[in-house]
Amino acid sequence: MGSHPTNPAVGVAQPSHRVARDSLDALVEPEASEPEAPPVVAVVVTCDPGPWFEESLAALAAQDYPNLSVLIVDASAHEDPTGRIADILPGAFVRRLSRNPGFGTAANEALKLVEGASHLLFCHDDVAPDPAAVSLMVHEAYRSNAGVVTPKLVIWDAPEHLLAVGMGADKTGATASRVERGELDQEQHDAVRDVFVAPGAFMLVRADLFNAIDGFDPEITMLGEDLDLSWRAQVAGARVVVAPAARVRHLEATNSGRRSPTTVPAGPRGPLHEATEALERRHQLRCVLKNYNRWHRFRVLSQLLVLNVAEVVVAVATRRWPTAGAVIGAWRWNLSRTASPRKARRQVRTYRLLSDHDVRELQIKGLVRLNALFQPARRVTHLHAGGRGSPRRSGADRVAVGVVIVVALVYLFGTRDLLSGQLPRVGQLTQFPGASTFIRAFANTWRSTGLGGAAPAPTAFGLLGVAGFVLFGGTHLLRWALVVGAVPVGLYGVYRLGARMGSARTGWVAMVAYGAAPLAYNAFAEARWDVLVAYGAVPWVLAGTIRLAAADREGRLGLFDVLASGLVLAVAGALVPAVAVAVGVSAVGLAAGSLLVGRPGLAWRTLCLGLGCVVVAIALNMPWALDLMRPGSHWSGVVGIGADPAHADGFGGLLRFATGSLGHGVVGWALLVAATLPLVVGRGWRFEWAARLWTLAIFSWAFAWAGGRGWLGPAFPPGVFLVPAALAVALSIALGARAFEIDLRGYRFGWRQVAAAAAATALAVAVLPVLADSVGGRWNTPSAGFDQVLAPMVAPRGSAPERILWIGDPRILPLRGWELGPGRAYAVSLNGFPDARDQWPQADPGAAGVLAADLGQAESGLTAQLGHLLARFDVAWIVVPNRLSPDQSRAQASIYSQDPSLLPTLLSQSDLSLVPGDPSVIMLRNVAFHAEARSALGHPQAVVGYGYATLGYRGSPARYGEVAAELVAWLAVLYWLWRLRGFSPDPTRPPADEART
Amino acid sequence: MRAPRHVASASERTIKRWPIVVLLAVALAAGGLADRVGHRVSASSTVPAIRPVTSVVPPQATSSVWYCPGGTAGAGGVAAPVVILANSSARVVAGTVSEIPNKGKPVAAPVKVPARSQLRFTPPPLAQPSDYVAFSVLLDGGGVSVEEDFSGPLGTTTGACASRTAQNWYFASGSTVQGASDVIALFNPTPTDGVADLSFSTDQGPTTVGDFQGVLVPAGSLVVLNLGDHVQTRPQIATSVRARIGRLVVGELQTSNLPGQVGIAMTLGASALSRSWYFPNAVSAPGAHEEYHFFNPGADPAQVALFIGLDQGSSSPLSFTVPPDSELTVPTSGQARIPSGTEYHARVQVVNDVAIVAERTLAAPSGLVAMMGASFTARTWYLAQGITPPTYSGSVVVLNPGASPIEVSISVFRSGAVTGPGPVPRGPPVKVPAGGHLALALPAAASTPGAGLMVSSTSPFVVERDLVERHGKGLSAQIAMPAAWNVS
Repeated sequence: MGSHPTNPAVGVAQPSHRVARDSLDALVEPEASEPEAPPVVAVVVTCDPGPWFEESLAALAAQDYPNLSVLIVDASAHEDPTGRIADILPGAFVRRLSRNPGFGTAANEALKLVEGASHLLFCHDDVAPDPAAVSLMVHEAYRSNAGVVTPKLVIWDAPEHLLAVGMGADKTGATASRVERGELDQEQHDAVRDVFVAPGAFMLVRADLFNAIDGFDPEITMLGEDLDLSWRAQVAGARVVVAPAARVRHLEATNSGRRSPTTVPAGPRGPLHEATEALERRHQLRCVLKNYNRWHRFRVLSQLLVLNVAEVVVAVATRRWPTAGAVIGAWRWNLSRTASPRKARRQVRTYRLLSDHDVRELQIKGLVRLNALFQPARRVTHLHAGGRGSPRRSGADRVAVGVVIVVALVYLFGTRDLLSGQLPRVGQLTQFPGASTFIRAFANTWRSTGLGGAAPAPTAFGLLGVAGFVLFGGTHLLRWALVVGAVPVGLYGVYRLGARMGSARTGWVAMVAYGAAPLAYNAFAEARWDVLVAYGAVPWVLAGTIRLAAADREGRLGLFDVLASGLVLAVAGALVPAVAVAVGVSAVGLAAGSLLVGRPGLAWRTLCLGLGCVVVAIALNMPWALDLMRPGSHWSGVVGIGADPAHADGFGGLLRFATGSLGHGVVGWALLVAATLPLVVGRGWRFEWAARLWTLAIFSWAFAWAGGRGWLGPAFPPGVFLVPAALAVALSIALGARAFEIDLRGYRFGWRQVAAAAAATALAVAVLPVLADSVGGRWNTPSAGFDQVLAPMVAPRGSAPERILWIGDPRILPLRGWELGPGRAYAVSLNGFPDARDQWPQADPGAAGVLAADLGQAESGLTAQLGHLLARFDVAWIVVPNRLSPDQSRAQASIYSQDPSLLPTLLSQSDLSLVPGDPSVIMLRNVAFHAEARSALGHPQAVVGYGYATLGYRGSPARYGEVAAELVAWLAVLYWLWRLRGFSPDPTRPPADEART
Repeated sequence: MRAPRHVASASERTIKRWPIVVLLAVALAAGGLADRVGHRVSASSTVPAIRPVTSVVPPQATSSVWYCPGGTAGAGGVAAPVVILANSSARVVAGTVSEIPNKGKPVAAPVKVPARSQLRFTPPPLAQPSDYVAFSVLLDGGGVSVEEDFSGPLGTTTGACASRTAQNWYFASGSTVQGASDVIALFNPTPTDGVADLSFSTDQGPTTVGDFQGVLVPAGSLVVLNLGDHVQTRPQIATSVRARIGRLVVGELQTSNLPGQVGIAMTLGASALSRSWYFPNAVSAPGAHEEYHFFNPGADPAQVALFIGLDQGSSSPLSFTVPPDSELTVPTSGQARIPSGTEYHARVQVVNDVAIVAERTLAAPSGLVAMMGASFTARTWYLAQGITPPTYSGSVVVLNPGASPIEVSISVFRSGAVTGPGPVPRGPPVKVPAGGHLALALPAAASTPGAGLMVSSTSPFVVERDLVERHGKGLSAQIAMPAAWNVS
């Protein structure tokens, strides 16, 4: 074009500013004698263009299309580009705007300025089309009868690599590139085909179509205008096709940071990539709001809401604050403009030819963002949003993705029964009450556990209540997620930690090793929710500590890490207080490991951070945490009640994480064998870290073992305290993989290579029991709880309270209580079968201690009328389970303590009647209670005064003040995390000396 | 081996590998070693508590119960019972005695046992005629021992009551020959319905009777089974009662009207098997026929040794094998190793790891004795009644199974005789040689009506009381009731 402007109107145009002043009606009016090529006007929107602009203009000038005019709409804030344009495209028309209204609005100037054109070519100012690009696109527009045509976009500096060949979008407007960003162009995508989105950097639009659909949406300032235009074009019955033969280089000046950020039109503040994500999100949501009819809009919005809530939860958990902010901001922005989408919908209705159903057929099936989790290779991206990711995915990445998928599939396969069926009410997997019940319990100073008493409500009530409300009251779903979802969360956390070692392989090796530890599966089989929560949370809590230590000499005690780890620990500790102790022990172990390798400064900082986050967690759980720690509180309130020390797991069993049926035998040692590799072949930081992690593991094992033996106070269960050890072993195995990559290269073939092979084999062997266990489909989780055999009998028969006294091995009781002796606990539930509220008893049993004393009297032969004693406290039933669940076999139940004297004692009481029933549980009816209940006067006065009358107590102003203070504390921590988020070290950065290595 | 080609980068510090690795390995090994030691300590520290069914609960108890499997009901019965309650505590103990017949409704009567006193409770007449009765004694305190006194046309005897129920009960002796009867009383004092299975071992081997399987014993009821109805004319019957559901108290009432062997014997069953059984006093007297009955309900043969303890000289033990699920009767009368007319003590010890039941019977012209041995020792023993003239004469015999001599003191509490706070006063101590037995010289108060006894020592021992009806119409031999808190 440059050398032979065929359009006289263009040709006569001299000074650009004059064009801007005058009417442009004649811009593309062809003369009868000119060639028959349809007139095309290129609408270039500029905004303070950089040095690339001349090259871009030159590319336009070099187009071989015979009837191309150029209209430049300048939205520059600082510089008038007319002179630069005149130098290269003297025939171009320039329209200067007083402000930058965004790409769409600026491009809409064509609606006013251009008449008679057959097509409009909308361009950014940072694109450079090949000379034949426009010709090919116009040709394809006619050949395919397309309304919108897009070219093949390639990287500016590396045109052999692809950026986009058209794009797809799902029903929520999330776009997905059809090619991998940076993919080598080998003409593999050079087929003309329909696409849903024509990227806005360079798009040819039929002029009448553009007029008919009123151009770009003026509300969409940037990012998303192409999606919206393409969408509406298809609604209007037009095709959107890609013509890959037309190639256009794209600089992505804005997203690559080459353009001044001040040129970005008004929108979300913050770093550019954050603003990009926020703009994309809100404009995609706007498209959904305005381009669907009512039914599809409702359906898609419902799904999008659920997806967005999940995204926010995951984003907060993974500290991707911009993503959380973008999602929330998108809804806020659109909800503040309810009128605008309504008006836009009315406009869309005027030209709609295609139904939503037909539009859906053109979109990508499923949800792109969800699919991206399982198909990471197909990135969720927008053409504008590129620039940050790696242009290529390596083979190791693909292996990692493959392994992650396999691990996910194995877990899903092994959990399939739990996914499809209901979780039983067994062990710690008790039923969750409604969200409002949780909240009420949280706001109440009266605890109904035990015999009731005034005590601070556990923070868990508040958290679970809020989470339940977020799920629209779906506490069943919440319970299911907290049980089944803990393992994937933990595995992902370990994957992230492992990946920090600088290799994709270490990430998945760590994940596989962590997944091979039998802890989680034994926790399913033993219905131990505390271990599952710890399994999911500990990798995230310890990530800060480990990251600090990994920062090495550059490390500093970061407030962000303390707050972030403390926040995660506060949540986990609210659910399972023992996690806080486990993290404290881990911090000490890690510090000791640092001392061992001669880094006292790092040891001190590690210790400070570990204990610091424990302090934060305690502070966020006030005043409940205070109740756990005050004098007189039982240690078991924090760490739980363990098995009889005489039958506690041995040290060897703990080393193999064999807390249940899985992990025993020779195969159980395989993980440890694999974890020794970095100790014997690792060098430098690999060896240092292996020594630290092994020290951490030994501290955890020792603590768990000593606790199980009852040497640290009353015996407690080891499971939670083994989780850090499992994490350390998994990371050590990953270190072995890294040492294999780095250190073994420096050795000749010898025993080290053999050791590496042995470690790899050991890891493979360690996985086998898990694979075998997955066949059952529920990790041996019991299929039924005692509620099925007891609930009909113990259901309260009136308004008067009835309590159930539970006695037995603490591992099989469906609620938590207090220690009654070695390997024996007692607990009380009120009015029927216990629920989740009974999992957090007061640390001090208070009046419930009287029940223990009464039982002691009976066992000492000091009473033969235990029922009469218990009836004072409305104990109507005594339940002594001897198995975890009714469907457990006698052999499976043999691991649980059976007190040989308890049952004879109870059955010898003259007022306790054995209720025939399932052999898995012994149930005694308190004849004395029921006799009193039948009496005309009901319960004795003492009973009424003691428990029932006070059940009506519903909080106090002081408690509301406490709740408000707790809320403020949580919000303050979140606020500071938000403020400090920029100071967090880049989690993707490899260890300091790794780069050097 | 060649030196590795690896050259550490300048940024990597030099750390000595092997000291650290060795240190970590030592830490793990130390954990394993400590685990072994700790496990042994933990395992050895768990010893289940022993609590015999006849034990007396401490005085500070808030309540206590006694279950007496009973005797015959109504006048003219062969074993009309009287319940004897002896309160060794310093406070009045009140309660209720419920008389539970095997037919008809129970009758309850309040009782109040003064401090350190004895109460003889004669059951009131029943509203409906009944054959047998049992008693449930519910008290609002502890320190009370309870036993029964039986009398009838065939003579008198005493019987122990149980302070708790049990799931299994065993009897090693019994007979249904012509002129003898054997009745098993299944007493369920609990609020839970019970179902019992009975099995027998006779001289013809083990047997089960359909009618005695799944016997329903409703809550708070008495079911009496006459073995002679189904296990007929067997000179030796050992009985095993297992409560399939619930828990029971089971007694055996034996009567004999054979020439030269007339009498009654009421025996509370053994609630547990044991490898050791003690018989503090036995006699080899002319005209008396003494036998030891061993019942092995298990599946393995028991290698049993019966040690005879003579006051003078020694006797080699009798050794024999009790086949599985079998009863073995060993007569000692006429044994050359036991001089005639001497009193001795006996100890049964199972050599192998099989637990059995051992019972001693004595048939004499003056009466019948069937006494379970003691499978435990204690430092304090109670007897609800002493040697009560003018009905009885007899003795209280202690056996010291230990290896050291012990000093035993006997205390008597009798209505009005001892009052006031504090423990029951002890008499002067009597020394009992190691492995020996001794008939205690009772203070005069012990031989007066209404006296209860407490025999105590600093070391475990066993107490037996033997009674002879002064008119030659009754015999009784009974192991005393141990204090629950110091049984070993």
